[in-house]
Amino acid sequence: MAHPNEGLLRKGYEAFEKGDLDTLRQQFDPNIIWHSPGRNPLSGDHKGLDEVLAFFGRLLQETDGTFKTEVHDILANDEHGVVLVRNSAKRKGKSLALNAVNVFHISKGKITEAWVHTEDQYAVDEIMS
Amino acid sequence: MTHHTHPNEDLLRKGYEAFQKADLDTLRQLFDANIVFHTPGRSPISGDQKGVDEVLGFFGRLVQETGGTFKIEVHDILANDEHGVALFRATGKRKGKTLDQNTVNVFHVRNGKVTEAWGHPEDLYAADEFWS
Repeated sequence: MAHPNEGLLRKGYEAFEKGDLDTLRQQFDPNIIWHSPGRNPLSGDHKGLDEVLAFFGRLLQETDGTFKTEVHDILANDEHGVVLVRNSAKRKGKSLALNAVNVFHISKGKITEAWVHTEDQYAVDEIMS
Repeated sequence: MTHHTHPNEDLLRKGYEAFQKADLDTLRQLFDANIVFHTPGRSPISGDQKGVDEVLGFFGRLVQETGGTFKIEVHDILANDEHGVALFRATGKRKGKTLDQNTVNVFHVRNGKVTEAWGHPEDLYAADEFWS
């Protein structure tokens, strides 16, 4: 049987794909921190529900809605969730597709913190800068 | 409390314990003969290590390059039938530089053997600077 936190993350990624912000608001702790790695304008720590949702919006805007995240697998236990994804996007005539690992802290059924690890941050920074 | 860990979680935990003790015999048993270990970035240690000998040689190089200071502290391990994930903190010193990075390693596990591994440090630029 899947861990409840696995179900929570699966629902979250489905909501992201549908642009269902209401579901994401329910899943994220109000004080969520989302760490975006690298050295591009979207890199850094996004703090609080509104900032994180705005960051998602910017990601879609900057890529003309081409940013997609395809879930490969989800693992979770009481404390951590890990989502293996394939991200793809197009921007300014360039396109990129790469594997990434998102790590989540989950507490009392809410996502409190997220860290993104991409397989090639240089390539991400090049396309996003 | 009963907590049934997945066998692949146990396998990875055993692997990290073996790494810490430099118990190469155990690592040889846990790794598939054709294991591929992917290290990201643009440093001299970046690239794909293929086969158990190359991977163990690579581990040796990490220890050598850091004068034996390279250490891994496991934070958590998650696993299912196909994937294993280890969350750990990697530290070390080299040429007056300090490594201190939360890292995620993703593993493919097949028939009780690690067949492929991908390393993901939290700051690839800082990792590359450390190993260059």
